Amino acid sequence: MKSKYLFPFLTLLLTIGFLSCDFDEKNINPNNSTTIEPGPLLSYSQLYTSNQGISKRVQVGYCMMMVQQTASLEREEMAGDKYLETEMLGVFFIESYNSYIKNVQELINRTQDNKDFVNTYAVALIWKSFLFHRITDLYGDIPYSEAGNGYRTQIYYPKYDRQSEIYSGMIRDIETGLSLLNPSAPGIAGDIIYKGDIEKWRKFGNSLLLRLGMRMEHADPSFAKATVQKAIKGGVMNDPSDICMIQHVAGKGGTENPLSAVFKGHGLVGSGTVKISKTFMERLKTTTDPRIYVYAALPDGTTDFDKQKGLPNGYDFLTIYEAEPDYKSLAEYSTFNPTTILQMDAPMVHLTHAEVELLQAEAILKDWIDGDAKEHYENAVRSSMKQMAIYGENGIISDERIENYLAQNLYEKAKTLEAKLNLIGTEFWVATFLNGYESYANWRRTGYPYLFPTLFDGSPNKGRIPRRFTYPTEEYSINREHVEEANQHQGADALSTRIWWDKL
Amino acid sequence: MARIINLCVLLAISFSMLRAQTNQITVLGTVTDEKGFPMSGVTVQVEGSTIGTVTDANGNFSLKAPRESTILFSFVGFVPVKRQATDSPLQIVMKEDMIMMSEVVVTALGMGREKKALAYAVTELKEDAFLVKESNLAAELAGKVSGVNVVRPTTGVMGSTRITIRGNGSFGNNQPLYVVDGVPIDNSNYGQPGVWGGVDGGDGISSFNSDDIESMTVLKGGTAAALYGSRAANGAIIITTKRGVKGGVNVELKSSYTFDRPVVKTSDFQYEYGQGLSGTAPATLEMTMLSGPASWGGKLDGSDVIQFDGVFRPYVAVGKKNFSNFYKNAWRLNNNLSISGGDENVLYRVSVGDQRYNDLYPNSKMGRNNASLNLTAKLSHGITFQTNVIYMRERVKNRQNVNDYASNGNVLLWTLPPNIDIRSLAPAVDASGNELLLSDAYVYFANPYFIAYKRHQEDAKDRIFSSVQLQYDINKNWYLRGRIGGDIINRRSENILPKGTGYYRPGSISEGSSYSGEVNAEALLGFNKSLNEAWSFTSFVGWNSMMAWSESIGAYGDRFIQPGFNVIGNTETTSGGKSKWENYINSLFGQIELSYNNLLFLTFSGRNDWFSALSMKGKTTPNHIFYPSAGVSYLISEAFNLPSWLSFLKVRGSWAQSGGSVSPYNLTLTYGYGETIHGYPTGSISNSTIPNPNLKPLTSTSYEAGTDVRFFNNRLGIDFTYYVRNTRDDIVTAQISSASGYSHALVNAGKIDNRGVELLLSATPLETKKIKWNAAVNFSYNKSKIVRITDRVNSFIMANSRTGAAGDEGTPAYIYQEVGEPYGIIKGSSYVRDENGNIVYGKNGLPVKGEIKKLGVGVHPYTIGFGNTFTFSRFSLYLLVDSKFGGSIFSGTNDMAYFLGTHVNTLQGRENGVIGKGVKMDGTPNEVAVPAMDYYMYIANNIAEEFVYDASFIKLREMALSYDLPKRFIAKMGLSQISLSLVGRNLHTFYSKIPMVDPESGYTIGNEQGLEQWGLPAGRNWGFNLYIHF
Repeated sequence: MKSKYLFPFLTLLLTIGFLSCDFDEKNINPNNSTTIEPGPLLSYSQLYTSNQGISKRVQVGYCMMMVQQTASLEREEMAGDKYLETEMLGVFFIESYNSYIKNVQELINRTQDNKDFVNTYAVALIWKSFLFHRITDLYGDIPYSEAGNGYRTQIYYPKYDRQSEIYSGMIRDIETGLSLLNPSAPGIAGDIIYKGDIEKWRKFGNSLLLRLGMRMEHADPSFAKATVQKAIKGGVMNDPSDICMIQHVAGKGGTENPLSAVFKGHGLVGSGTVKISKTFMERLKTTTDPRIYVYAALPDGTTDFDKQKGLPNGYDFLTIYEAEPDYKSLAEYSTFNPTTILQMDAPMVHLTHAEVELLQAEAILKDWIDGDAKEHYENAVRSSMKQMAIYGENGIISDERIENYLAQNLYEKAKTLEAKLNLIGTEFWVATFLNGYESYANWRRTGYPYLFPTLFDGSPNKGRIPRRFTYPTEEYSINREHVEEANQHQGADALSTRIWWDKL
Repeated sequence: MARIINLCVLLAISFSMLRAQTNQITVLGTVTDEKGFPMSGVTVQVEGSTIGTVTDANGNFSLKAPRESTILFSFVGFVPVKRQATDSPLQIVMKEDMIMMSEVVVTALGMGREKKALAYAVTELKEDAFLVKESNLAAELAGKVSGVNVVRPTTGVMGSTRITIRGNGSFGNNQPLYVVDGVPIDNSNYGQPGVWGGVDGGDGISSFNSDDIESMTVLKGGTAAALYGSRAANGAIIITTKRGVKGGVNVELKSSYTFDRPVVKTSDFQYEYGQGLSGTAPATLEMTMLSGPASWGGKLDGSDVIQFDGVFRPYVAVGKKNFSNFYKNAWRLNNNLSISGGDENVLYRVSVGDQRYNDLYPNSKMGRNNASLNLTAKLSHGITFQTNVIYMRERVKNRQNVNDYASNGNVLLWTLPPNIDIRSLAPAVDASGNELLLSDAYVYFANPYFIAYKRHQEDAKDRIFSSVQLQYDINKNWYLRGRIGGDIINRRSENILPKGTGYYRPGSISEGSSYSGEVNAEALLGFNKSLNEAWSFTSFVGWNSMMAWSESIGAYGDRFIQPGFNVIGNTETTSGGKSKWENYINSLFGQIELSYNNLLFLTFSGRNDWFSALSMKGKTTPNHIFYPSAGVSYLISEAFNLPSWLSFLKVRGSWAQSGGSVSPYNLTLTYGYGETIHGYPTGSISNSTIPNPNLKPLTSTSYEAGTDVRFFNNRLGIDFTYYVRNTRDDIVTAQISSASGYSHALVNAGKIDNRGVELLLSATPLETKKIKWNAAVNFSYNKSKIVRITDRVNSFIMANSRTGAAGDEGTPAYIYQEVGEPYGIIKGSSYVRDENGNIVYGKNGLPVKGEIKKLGVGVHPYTIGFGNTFTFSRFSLYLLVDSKFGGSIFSGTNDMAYFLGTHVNTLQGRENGVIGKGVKMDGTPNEVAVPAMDYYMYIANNIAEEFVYDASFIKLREMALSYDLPKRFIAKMGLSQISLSLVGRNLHTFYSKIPMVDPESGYTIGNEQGLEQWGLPAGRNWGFNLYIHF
């Protein structure tokens, strides 16, 4: 009687017991993929090169303010023209590594050994250098060789590499990428910028080499010269359509131009937080630069040349009267033109043909390469003004206006070498308006245009335009030994410390 | 089956009848308890034979027994009585077995064990502990068990509860395992408020009805809960529901109706200056709007001043009644009907409950229903079948937001200037249908009536909990037991921000639906044997298979199109998503208990858990962990002859290793997709925390030693325990360098130590025929210490206050985990002081802002509960005082009251400026007068130290005055018992040091205790209970 029940009982127990002992598939995430194709990773690394917070508070709020393209009466945020120190200085570092650096590195991880993706790998190497150069140009020594790969390498506290080594590494990567580009291999996956056009990537890669080469002119002249020559030989941009930019799309939050979106969302036109700087406005006005109609407008939309007015840099609401005794309200000062550069589908520009022409003009004046500097200068002006068409109908500058501008013969009028370099540098500054990172880097390298530092009383850096950004404070508690090592080598972690290439 | 047994009994009786025909008499009588109430289900047996019966519903019995034989009366928990069989009716009075030598307690895995054999401290609560009800079952433990810390946030009757036993042992989960009838429940929490506000979505334990509980055993930590292995580190609460009782049908009705009133210390508010800025009443509507909630206006002089709605009203103090005028009509109604009964073979209990709550916040309600069936049946061949099925249904409307401003309707109650009557905001909307704001410049200060009647939150939970058990007693040594049970929950929720909401005009709606639960299947084989006269052992081995899952879908609609029609279809943009997870643990366990002469007991147990969350193809580290335990219990009073006043002495000690939980899908990277642009989808790594392929759960090593000693025949008892609980390899989401690409990594690095003492003093100071006084004091002290976080991280911020967050008004305060400090300390900016403790002031007359330093601990180290029951004739008075000491709280409510000028402390200096008491930097007394508004706003924005208060308290937690109607009176109505009670909860606070708010005003049940801001006010609850036994 008892065994009759015992046996089925035990069998029941044992069978249930041996169920589900294999747990391997039970721990696979059903919500998110554990693998991904390279294409979307490249698209991500391109699209998210800018975001709202950074474009407002770093691109415009610091970089453009420091080189006096924009100005404000703010005293805390958006006060780069007073050289104040805020958390945003470190945020660019943190967000860069957590977003595009991590994903472009993952893209490289997934394509480097895959023959089918050799072109994507090549582009990833070039783009990675583009993304890194912006970071190192702002901070100097930064984590590079050990960075962005935390899961695969299990390196949680990357060391800081010397900027000289970072530049070598970036240039090496670009050259490798250029050599790997192969028109007969499968195309580039997920390329938002050039839609898979290998020739354009070749020109971009070489143009980036040109930019990096010129940057090193004071720190390592021979390496700089060799790089520039290689770049020209390899073939740089020669047409405005070679422009490297992200063409944004209006309508959806994630694809709109982040700068335009944040201007609209925070009402920055009406609030007067961002104004065209008096320094910049003077340049546009004294040269009757037709780009004034594209860049500037009064808050009420007026684009009349005579009405445009720039705000002096370095003042707040109380002290503005020292510079402008008749100051009445911010509404009288020009800001960004909402019908052009603040459109939701305005592109975000990273490297242009105009810049490339100007850098070549400089290189010619240095006797590094052959050519006609004046021709390159004029090509640059034409290219930049024609490029304004990317901002829509209101951005189109007629050929007539362009020729009228060139008829001023500014190049001829610059007699000395120094005057010519000044003209080229100043033109660079006007042409890279909105790409604050590049305007700031180029100003530090060349010293052009001449800028009078602001003398704001509340600033710890009164009278000295910053030469770099400071590291995020959290690095001191989390990655202390490495960041202090960097300080030992580079100098104090201060806004005034000069990074490796900044030897002017 | 029942018939076969009955037949056997009948045969046996006939046999004995044959043998002793002439000597048989009929023995009859009644069995009652000490109060005179009839006891049903008492076993009445002829000693040494199988002749027996049970008493019926009226306590009567009748059986045939040999003359002069001994009749034995026995019932669990009562001292057995022996009487000789006589012709005359027997009147038996059974006394409760105070020494409880053979008391059986339900322990881990639902095993009943004799309390004397247990090597660890255990507390058992019976039905009478749940007399004064709360809306959350877990909250009814407050003040009753040493070592158990109960925290109830100010989120209303539908809120969750946090229970920690013997301190906090982990950076992750610190709540114990809840088991009902041997089956673990799903105690998932559906969201908690954080620094940016939010609602408390409720937890799992709150759906269970305490009216259905027969006993609750608190297993205080790894040593007691060791058999639960990886789920044992924080202890376990074992709940056994009521079974039927032998003998007739019992119908019982329990009803209670209570009211709630808000309790606010109005003496901490100022009622002398009204709305305005810089010392003057607003002269124009524009000035009124600019002032908003600021009470820095002029002295209340009765003149007519314009208010937010354009109406001129006298500038007088009307605000004192704002709290009582708004938080009103709160009540609770609870009804529970049960029918139970049974015989020797079948016991059953059916119960149906209905609970309705009208919370303090207007238009916030909750309704709960539960229906349960509990069945025990003795089948043939030694098989016992037991099942319990409970259906729970919960409907909640308008859970309240606390902390932060947005959608928090409590904010204006705490901050309204004293000249404004809250009821002037009652229209809720303006002429265009938008939220009627106090000021358009302060859109985040919500209109409380708008929140009550226009903003809408709703959720519905339907839940089935069931446990089915089959036990087969193979012979007198072997038994087999199988059990399967589960907790399955379906919850739907909806949250609507209507069009016209002040801070977000377009409005939005979100919908959610989740299906989750846990199922456990368990089987074990047990073997008990007496080896010889002295030694015997009980043992078992078994396995358990656990599956837990959750599947949830959410839909979100933004920007309503047509006003007044709040559905997702009526929105401009919609989005949604789905997520799910599954988690499995398979376990093998065993235990052996050796006993020597019934006075020395050795227990050894082990459990091995295999985790799905640690499994991955190609992983080299193991996915299973072993958890052993060992313990000893020695009854000295049995082993030696002790003086008679020492009635019981036991010493015990145990050691165990237990584990923690680990979530699935944490071992690998995952990817997600973002926007698609020009036809290209963007994709990226979704993790910002580096997964750890070698992740494992924490290990907790605990040991305890204690003694249970009783004097004077149990009139006085002392139960003392010293415990140590050390956690190693706790999973830390450690901050790493962002240059790695990630902000955090999961590492097994944390070490947290806890040690403490628990003391339970129980006494019966007075016991006469008419009066009895029982008292019990439970005391516990816990000392926690963070030993290590990771090798690089010495501290991290667990949470920060809303004040000062993102640069907003108020001063920030933080809850830190810091090496060398107790768990969860409060840190914030401080005053700078000289060697004599005087505050140092700057040249501007304002205190110098000092560094951020430790200002208190968020968790109280001391908890003391004092319970008394006085019984006099048919009356009884029960009082429970609950207290906690040593913890602190940062009060955002007080901080903002300084900032806005509503605090009574901001009165000083309004006319002539404030001269801060302290010294200047050079040591001379400070003499600079600062305008009051500037002074107090500065303090509010800069000195967190001013707002960290001692959160110790002593409260009258529960009170019940009961009366049992006389038996002769109710017998006429055909009833067995009627009891009426006057009950109260949180009736009075004897001691508290925080202005304005109650010391128990935290807003979350998370690990970050010690922050408070703008929650619901505390409430006093009192009313009536009625119990009828038909």
